[in-house]
Amino acid sequence: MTHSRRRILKGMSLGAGSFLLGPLLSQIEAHAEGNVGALPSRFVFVVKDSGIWPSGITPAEFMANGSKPINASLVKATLPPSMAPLRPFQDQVAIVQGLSGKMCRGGHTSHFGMMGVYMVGSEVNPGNPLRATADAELAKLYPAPFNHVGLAVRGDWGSTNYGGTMYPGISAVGPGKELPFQGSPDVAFDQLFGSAVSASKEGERRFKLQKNLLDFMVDDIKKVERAIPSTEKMKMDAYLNAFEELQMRHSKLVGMKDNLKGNAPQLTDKFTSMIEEVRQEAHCDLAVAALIAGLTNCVTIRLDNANTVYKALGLARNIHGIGHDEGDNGRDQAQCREIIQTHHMALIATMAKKLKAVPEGNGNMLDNTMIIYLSDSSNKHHGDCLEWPYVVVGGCSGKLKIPGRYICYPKYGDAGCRTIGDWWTTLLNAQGNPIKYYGNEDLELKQNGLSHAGPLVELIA
Amino acid sequence: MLNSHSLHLLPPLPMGKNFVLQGVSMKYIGPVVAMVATMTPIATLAIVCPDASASQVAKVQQKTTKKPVETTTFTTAVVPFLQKYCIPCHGPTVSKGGITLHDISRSLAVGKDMDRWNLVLKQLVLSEMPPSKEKQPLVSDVSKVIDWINAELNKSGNAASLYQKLEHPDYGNLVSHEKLFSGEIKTKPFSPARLWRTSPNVFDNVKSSYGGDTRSIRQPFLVEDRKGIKEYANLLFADSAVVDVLLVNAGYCADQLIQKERLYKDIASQQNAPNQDQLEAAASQHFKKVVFRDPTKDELTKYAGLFRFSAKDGGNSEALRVMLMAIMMHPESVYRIEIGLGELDASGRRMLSSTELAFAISYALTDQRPDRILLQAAESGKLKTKEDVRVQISRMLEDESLEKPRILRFFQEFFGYNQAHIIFKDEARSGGFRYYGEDYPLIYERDADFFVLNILSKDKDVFRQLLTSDEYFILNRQTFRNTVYAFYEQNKEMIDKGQLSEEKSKELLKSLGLKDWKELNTKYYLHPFDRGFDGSPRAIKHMGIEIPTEGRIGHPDEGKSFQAVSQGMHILYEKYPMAYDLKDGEQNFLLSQPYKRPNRAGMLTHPAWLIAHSLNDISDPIRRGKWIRQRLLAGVVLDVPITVDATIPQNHQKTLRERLSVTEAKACWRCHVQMNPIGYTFEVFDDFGRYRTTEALDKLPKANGTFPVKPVNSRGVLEGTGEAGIDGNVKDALELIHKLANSKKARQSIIRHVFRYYMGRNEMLSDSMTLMAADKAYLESGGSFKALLISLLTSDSFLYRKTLTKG
Repeated sequence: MTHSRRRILKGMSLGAGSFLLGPLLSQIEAHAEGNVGALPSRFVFVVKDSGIWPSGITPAEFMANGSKPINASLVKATLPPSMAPLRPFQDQVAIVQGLSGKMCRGGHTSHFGMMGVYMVGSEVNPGNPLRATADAELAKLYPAPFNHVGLAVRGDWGSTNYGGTMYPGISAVGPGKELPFQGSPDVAFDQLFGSAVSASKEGERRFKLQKNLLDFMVDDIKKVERAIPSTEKMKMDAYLNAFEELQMRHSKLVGMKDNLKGNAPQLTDKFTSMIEEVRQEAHCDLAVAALIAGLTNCVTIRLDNANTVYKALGLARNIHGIGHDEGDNGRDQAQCREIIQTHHMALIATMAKKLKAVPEGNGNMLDNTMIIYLSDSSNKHHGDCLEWPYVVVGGCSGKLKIPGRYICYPKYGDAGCRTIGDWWTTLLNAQGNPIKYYGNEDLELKQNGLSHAGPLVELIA
Repeated sequence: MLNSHSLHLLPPLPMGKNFVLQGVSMKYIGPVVAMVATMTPIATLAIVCPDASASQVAKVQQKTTKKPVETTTFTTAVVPFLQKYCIPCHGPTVSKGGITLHDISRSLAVGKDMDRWNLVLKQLVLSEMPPSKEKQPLVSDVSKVIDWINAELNKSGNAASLYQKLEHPDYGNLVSHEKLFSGEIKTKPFSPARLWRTSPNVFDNVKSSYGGDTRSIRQPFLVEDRKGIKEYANLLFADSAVVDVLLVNAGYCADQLIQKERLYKDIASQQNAPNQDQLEAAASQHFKKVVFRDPTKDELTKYAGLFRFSAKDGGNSEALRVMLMAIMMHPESVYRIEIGLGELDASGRRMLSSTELAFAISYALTDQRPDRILLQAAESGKLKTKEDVRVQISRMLEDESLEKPRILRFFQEFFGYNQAHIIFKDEARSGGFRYYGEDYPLIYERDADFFVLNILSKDKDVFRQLLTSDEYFILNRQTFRNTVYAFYEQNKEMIDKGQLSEEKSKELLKSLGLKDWKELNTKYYLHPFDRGFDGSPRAIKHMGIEIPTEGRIGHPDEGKSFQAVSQGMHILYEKYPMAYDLKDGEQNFLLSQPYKRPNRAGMLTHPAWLIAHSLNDISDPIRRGKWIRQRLLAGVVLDVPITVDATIPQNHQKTLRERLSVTEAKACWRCHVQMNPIGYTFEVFDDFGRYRTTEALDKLPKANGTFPVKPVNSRGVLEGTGEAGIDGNVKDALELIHKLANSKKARQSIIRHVFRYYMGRNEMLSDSMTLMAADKAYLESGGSFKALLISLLTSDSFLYRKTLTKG
């Protein structure tokens, strides 16, 4: 077992050069010997546009159940055809339905509300994030050189931005501070693995000197900041924080070089492709490689937005058009959604397969991972937030009783109905953040005595 | 802190050699800021966003779920205020607009009556209530109520969305149009003291000064690509995303400099440590290039220190690299600091200093750093007064050799026509909208640019012309190509021999309407292959070859005349003129542009605008109506309520307008009445921008090769100008547009947008005097955009700064 992980890492690498184990890798290997408690949990948030139809992720056996509450085994259930790629992992798949998010903005996108549990922004403007979103809060529990990696194929809901740094308006690391997403897989590659892969003697020296540079910049900016009006300090703070983050990262990366070298995905033309489906694949490759290398424990992937056209899948209309039932070469919305969902599930299955192949503790990395598939417009193209469907893949570090379960909560307004605030609270509590309740409470439910505003204790292991 | 001594600390702004500015040195800013911070702000404008400490308190309180209501202020200030100024009209007896306030809950901190309190807040912040004819409360009383609402909102964990909105371009119209132009506001205008992130366009122009191949330098200052005005000072930050790119750029440029420039090469390659002079010279040279001022002695010492410290571990070359990188990431290279370093006036404002002005003027008109003349003026004390600024701006506007791309960019962003290329139009319906990678909508956008530039060059009645002119530029690359080809045919013998007399050369220039070849790419939007055209015999001959000799159009072997070949369309653009209602062969692309087109009126009927404001396969009456309501009628359209399922019902027998009748239900119409009656008038154009009188029901089966059609109903209503002879029924978009062109409100609404673009922010009520003067200048000059610009850029809003407090 000792070297199994190392073998895998080698197998995934560029294949050139020798692979001396760095200190971090040795640490991970020590974990792999059995110290499960100390293993980090990993998270991949896969965010799609235009909602997830609850019926589209409901196994045939449970269709008749409608929206009645249920918590049943999913292991032998018949997943819908569009979820077929997940069948090899069915014991680690969870489908969670019926949780409401009426405290969020509905419509085309809830922006930061999806994982921040509050109403924000307008149709065209994501607005200012009020607090760190739940993905960012989870990332904070398992710090890594890159605490939280954002990868995006597209930007904000209606944007046509493509490549480069993007702000999809779904994830925030703190109040007023949006997580930047990288839209170009090749640039993301450089940012994550670049220094190590190009590491030479000069590179090593440079890496060391970078510390001097960062320290100097922090000092320099602080000096300027003292002199500007307080109202404008926020802007200079953003600049300062960027360098402070780099300082921290620098010290973490010191020990990781060889490990990174062994883990970088093969740099093929996939990373510069202009085909959206291929770029999605490249981002997913990077996400998994970064998790395996220990570069990060949390990745949020913005897969698509209103303007995405899945041409390689044979669709001609963009997601917005499909959502508005404009049809696509004779296909109706349901058929288009099925094609797209099958593709998304295949991307997730590929990630799961790679993680499963990496032994860790008494099992594998997938056991300690949660891949969460969700949409910023909850349950449909114009989400009404009455329910917010989630598909989860992975063992959730054994901290949640959801792998292999089909779970549906009572519908909004019925006794026992629960919210996405409760859901994110559950995840945070299970992972070690004791917060009593995460997010804004549903005041309507509260007035009617139906709000719980606390974790879904039945899901915590 | 405020004393006369600190005033003397202001630098006399000595200028360095070569017009490098001794500019905003941080050493000098300290005392100024300290002074500014003590000034009392105007209460109603003072609150920009809730302060951090309050929200932290809110968080703690949220955790404990105890939210004590602050009752003292409520009983002593809020209740009396409501009773005196609000409840008489919004109480138990009278409830104007259906709003009552006598029964509003004091428990805002726990989320009660959030909507009503937000409404109150908005009325007070924007001075909309009490109505101006009623008795007005004291500013200090208003601010007490505002403070209380903000504090309670914070406790509830829901910061007021109002302030955030007020700063966003989409909500600029929340500030009352009537108030702004009423003349009753006498506040002296100013802009808040601010940092303004470097614009991507400026970066593109200055990046060559960083060293290295500019193509390898990436853009760190991205701005979201969307319709509308984009660069607002308060919305752009230099955060880790920017820094990631800056670092890569700086590393690359430092490497290049060390490899290629003698000064740096020498230091890098010498065995011994460089001396202080050498180091300071190296730092100073690059600092001047990228920060664009002389470094202070202090700064030079620090850079030298960084070098020495780094050289211990990394040697000269790597230490130099670190030093150069630090210079390239200097805070002043990412933010332009514009806080007002001039003297304090009686209204608590400070005028921009000469240095600040040189940059402000230059970045307002160009994407370049200040030119020599501006710098000279600043240096010699001739950039201190409003009149000085006027002289410089007039000079720059008149100087044709000075590129001023910001002017055209305003019209692109305002009209949004530059977003046509992002709307997907399917090939099957268009018959070749995109052909061999030639993106027609992108070229329509350029056509629209030429349309705007032509109007700007005349500079008369600019807004009316933009709205009504029927003079269109259509694919001028084809005119260019055909003109050159005709010239070649006429002078074939000579050109084939590689000869061309100067006289003949001039003849060609003249027929293209050019002064010299340098002008070519500004007057024509050429195919990338042709952009290097230099008028040489070789280039002319090549153009002849490019005319297709086989294919669909005018092949000589088919018996067509030369005329037909040379005046026809290049095969790539065969379908291009359709959006202008032209059929193949109908156009004569030898005629000089522009072309008059029937059934069109200005930009809003330009194919680029119509496509940019359409959906994939249908037009878009609602958003078009919204566009006009917001951009030309200074109107506010509420956000789509979250309960609305905005799906257009499918019904293949109905026209789009008929299908949209779902929005005429009472609950929907409240908002849709603002948009639909205006947007419907554009149904005389299809989603490709073609004029039509009937709408094809293209989801139904064809009969005799064509789709069944229904007549277009383009009748609509224009309401909201409040101007006699303008509000009323219209038969179609053309009538609507001609009415708008006569509307005072439309003119002022455009001026508000020009203001936003040039000031980088939304207007506040205190900008009233600036806007009214701008409107007057525009009118008195006979509709000159230049006159409007001069007025805005010499206004107090542009010239003065004031430090506001937040929260």
